[in-house]
Amino acid sequence: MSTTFDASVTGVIAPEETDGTSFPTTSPAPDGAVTPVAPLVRHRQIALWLSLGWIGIVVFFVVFAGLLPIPRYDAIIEGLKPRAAPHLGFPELLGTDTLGRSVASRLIYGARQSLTIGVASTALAMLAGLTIGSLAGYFRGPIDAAVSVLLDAILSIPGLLLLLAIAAVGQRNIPTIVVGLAILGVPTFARLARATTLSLVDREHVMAAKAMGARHHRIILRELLPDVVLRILSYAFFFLAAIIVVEASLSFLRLGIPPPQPSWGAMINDGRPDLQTHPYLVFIPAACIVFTVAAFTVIGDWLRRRFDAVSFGAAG
Amino acid sequence: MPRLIARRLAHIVLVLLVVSFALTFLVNLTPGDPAYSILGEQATDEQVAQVHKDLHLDDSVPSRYGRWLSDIGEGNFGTSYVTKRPVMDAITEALPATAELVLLTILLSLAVAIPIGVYTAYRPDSRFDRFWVLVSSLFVSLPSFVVALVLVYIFALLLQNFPIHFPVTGWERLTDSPGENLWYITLPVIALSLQQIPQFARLLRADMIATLHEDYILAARSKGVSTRRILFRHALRPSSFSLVTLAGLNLGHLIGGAVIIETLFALPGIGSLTVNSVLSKDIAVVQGVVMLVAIVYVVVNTLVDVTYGYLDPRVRVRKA
Repeated sequence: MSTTFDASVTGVIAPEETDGTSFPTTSPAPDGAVTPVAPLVRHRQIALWLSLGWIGIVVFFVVFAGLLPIPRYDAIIEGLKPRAAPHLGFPELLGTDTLGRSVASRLIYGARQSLTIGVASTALAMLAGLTIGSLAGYFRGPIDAAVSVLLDAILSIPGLLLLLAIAAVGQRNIPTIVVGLAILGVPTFARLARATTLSLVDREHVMAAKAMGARHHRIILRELLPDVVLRILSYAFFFLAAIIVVEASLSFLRLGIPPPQPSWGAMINDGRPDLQTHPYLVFIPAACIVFTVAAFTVIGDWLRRRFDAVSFGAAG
Repeated sequence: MPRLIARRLAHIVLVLLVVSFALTFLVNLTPGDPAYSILGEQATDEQVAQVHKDLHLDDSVPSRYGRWLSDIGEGNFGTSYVTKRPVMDAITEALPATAELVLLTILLSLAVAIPIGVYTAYRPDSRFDRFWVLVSSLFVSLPSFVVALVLVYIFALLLQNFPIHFPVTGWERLTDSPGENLWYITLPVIALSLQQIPQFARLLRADMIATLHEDYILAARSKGVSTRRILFRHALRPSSFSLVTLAGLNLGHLIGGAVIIETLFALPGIGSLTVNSVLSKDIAVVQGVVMLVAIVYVVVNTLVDVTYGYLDPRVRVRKA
């Protein structure tokens, strides 16, 4: 299964996704072909600043949620009917939900949950993937073969289905969901780490370290890992974007963190019966998901261009 | 070639063994006694003992695993604890809706993506090409349920006379009433396709640009062959191998993506079956579905991989 396009955990694909075996080539353009890269540079710059701005705003609200003058996410707002429309007034700029709770507050606490889960599971997936992948790429042989079977086993189950299986038996709390989401990411991180390790292992500095009698752990940790991490970092943002969608999907199916904890996916599901009369109950949280996902994708893309100098330099 | 296939076979057997073992072990991960999560807290001791006997919960993991494996070998995927029916029956009942959804999605996506991919490869960096880059990055960051809800809002609620009710009721089997069935499945198929089309078009564009630089295309052009003929007759076929591969691989992922769409549109498919089983803690059905999907995915994946090598001799040489 050497040509598995595995990033489509949810259908969110990293642009020009590598197939794991050929990392870090990014389908170099054939001689003379005009790639769309050049004329888009300005658009890219604008997109990057917009993305950083949006993520900055979200992170600000998430970090300072407790200090902001907003009602609690489960408090019923006095003096406003349920499903009050967004209006230009303080404090309920975004109106109230089906039970009369503050949409703005639920969005912010929902963002806190999405980002905590997303960042934690990305970190876990990256750690596990790096360990597995660099060991497999460095030692090859039976370790490599065993790892490949294990990864293909994870990949043979569509991501959401795997999570559903975990949700069927596990408790619906943050640790379970974080571990479940991390499992989805391990194969891709491990494949990228393995492929990068393979491409680095014959470099002069590694050779030199070997010649000087360095031990395996020194070579892996000091000579290989820094480069491997740098190359993989951009994928972490793509994965974070994908994970936010999966987490929202899970909450949307009522299989995420149980209520009254707010989450963007659950807010969409709650607003679904009122789609015809109060569409903003669905489309405000939906817009938050879309902006956040798009922003992380843009940032990941920028990182890839920035730090993947080897492939971009070679491809011209 | 035969050696390659043999290695592949050994690999997929190992992969499926790992999946099936993990699935058996899944029950052991249930916090507390799984019998209570099935029966509820007020279950009597006899009921619990009965569940233990039925599910062989008191046996060791290896013996349970052996039993489950031999059952699967006979095509028996266990018995649903909630409906008391064979899991296989539930799956066979749900399969037509999902199969129809997934196949129509692949067909529609290819039908839209091929002309776009060919055109953007023919005129790279044109206005349309740049516009398409924007559109595809938009669709790629849209979660499928958001796409679906937007579609529902526009077509089912704003355009009242569009004959799709929401939430969808009255699903008819394709064989019972093809017209009704196709109407109902239109929006779900479009919602799923919108995520496939950008992937397909982008892949075809990349391969096609490479093909268009081949000498034989230049030769065809100098002979005065029409552009349309060059693009669709000479260049498309050799450029479409990886597209076919991706379409095959995405079949498996679409079954996962269908979970959301099926739940949203109330299509009685594999996805709804899984979600409902998870909600009612019917672990046997979840195990059966996941195992079956894994088998389908791995088999399709391997078939695609092997056919790919067969169609394009260059791949065989590189792999050997």
